[in-house]
Amino acid sequence: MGVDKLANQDYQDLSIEQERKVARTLMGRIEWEMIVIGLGQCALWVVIWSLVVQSIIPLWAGFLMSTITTAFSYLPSHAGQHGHLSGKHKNLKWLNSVVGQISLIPLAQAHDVLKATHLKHHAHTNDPERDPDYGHTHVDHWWQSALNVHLQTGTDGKLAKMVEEFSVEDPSFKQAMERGGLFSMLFLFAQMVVVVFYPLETLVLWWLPRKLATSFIGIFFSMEPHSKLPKGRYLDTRFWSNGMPRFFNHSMQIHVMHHMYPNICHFDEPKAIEALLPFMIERGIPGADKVPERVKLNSLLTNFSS
Amino acid sequence: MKIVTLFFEHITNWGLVWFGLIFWGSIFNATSAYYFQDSHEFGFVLLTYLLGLILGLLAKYRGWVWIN
Repeated sequence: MGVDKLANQDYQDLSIEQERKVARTLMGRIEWEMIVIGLGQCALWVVIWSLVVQSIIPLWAGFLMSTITTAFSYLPSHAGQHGHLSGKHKNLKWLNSVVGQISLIPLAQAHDVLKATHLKHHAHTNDPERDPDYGHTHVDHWWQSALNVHLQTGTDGKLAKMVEEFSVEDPSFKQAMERGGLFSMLFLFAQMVVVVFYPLETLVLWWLPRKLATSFIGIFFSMEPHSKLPKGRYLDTRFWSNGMPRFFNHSMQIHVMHHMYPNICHFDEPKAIEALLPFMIERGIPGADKVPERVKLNSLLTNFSS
Repeated sequence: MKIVTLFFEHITNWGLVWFGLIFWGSIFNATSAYYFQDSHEFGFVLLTYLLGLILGLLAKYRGWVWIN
C-alpha cells in the first residue's frame, strides 16, 4: 500500500503499529542523491585544489568554494552510516562505506569512527554519560557548540571516557574504532605530506574549511535539534527554525524525523513528516503541532521562531 | 609485526607533536615568507619549524587535539 493511501487513512488509529506501518512504506530505496553529493563534492574539492595550485583562481576564492563543498561532505557519510546508500539491496552494502569514506576526504575523518559514535548517539541521545554528541549539543550559545565540537576530542575528556567504555562493553564498536583509526592516521599523514609541498593551500583549502564545516555540523546537526531536551524517543529532538531556508541548514530543521525513523532517507523526510504528522503530534514531539501540512523548502520558516 | 605495532603506538602517542612540527612548521615557514625578507635563511626556517614543534608539544600535553 502506498504512503499516500496510508497517510490519508482514518487517523483514529494512532497506534505504534500503524505508525510503523506508514513509516515502513518510506524505507528501503537507494538514496542516489547522497551518492551524487558525496562523490560530487569530493570531486569538486579536488578540482578547486587543482585550479588554485595552477593559479587559475586565487587562494581566497578557493577557500570560499572549498568551505562550501566541505560543508556537504558529512551528510553522504551520515546516509552511509544508516545504510541509505544501498537501501534494501544487500549486495550494494559496500556503497555505504566506500562512498561514505570518499565523501569524508575533505573533512579528513574516518567513516567507521563517525558511524560507530553516531549510532551510539542514536542509542543514547541526550544522555550526559552516554551520548558522544552531548558536549557540543547541550550548550547555551551556538558559538559554544562551534568550539566544543573541536575541543571535546581531547584524550582526557568526557568523550574519550565514553569511547573507552563503549569499547569495553561493545566489541563491534571497538573493531569499528580500530578500523577507523587507520583512516584517521592516513589522513594525518596525508596532510603532513601535502603541506610540505603546498603549505598555505593545505591550510586554506583543507584545514580551515574542515574546521568551519565541523563547527557548522556541530551547530546545525547537534545543538539546534537536541539542545536542552530530555531523553526519550519522542522527546529528544525538536522541529526548529533559524530563519534560514531549510536547504542552508541541510534540512536539519526536520532532523526529528531522522531520530524517529533513521532508516528513512534524508531526502524522503519531508513526505515522511507529512505522512506521520498526526502520530508526531499525538506523541508530543516538540514543535510537531506547528508543522504545516505540506513540508516545502521554506515552509517551516513562518511556523517557528528560534 | 612488532615494528608496525610500535609505529602505531608511537603515532598514537606522538602524532600531534609530529603534526605540529611538520604541518604547522611548514605553514609558519610559508607564512613568514610574506613578512620577512630573510625567511629563506636556515636559521629562520629552523625557527618556524621549532615554533611548530612547540605547538605540537603544547597540543600533546594540554590536549589541544584541534590543531590537527
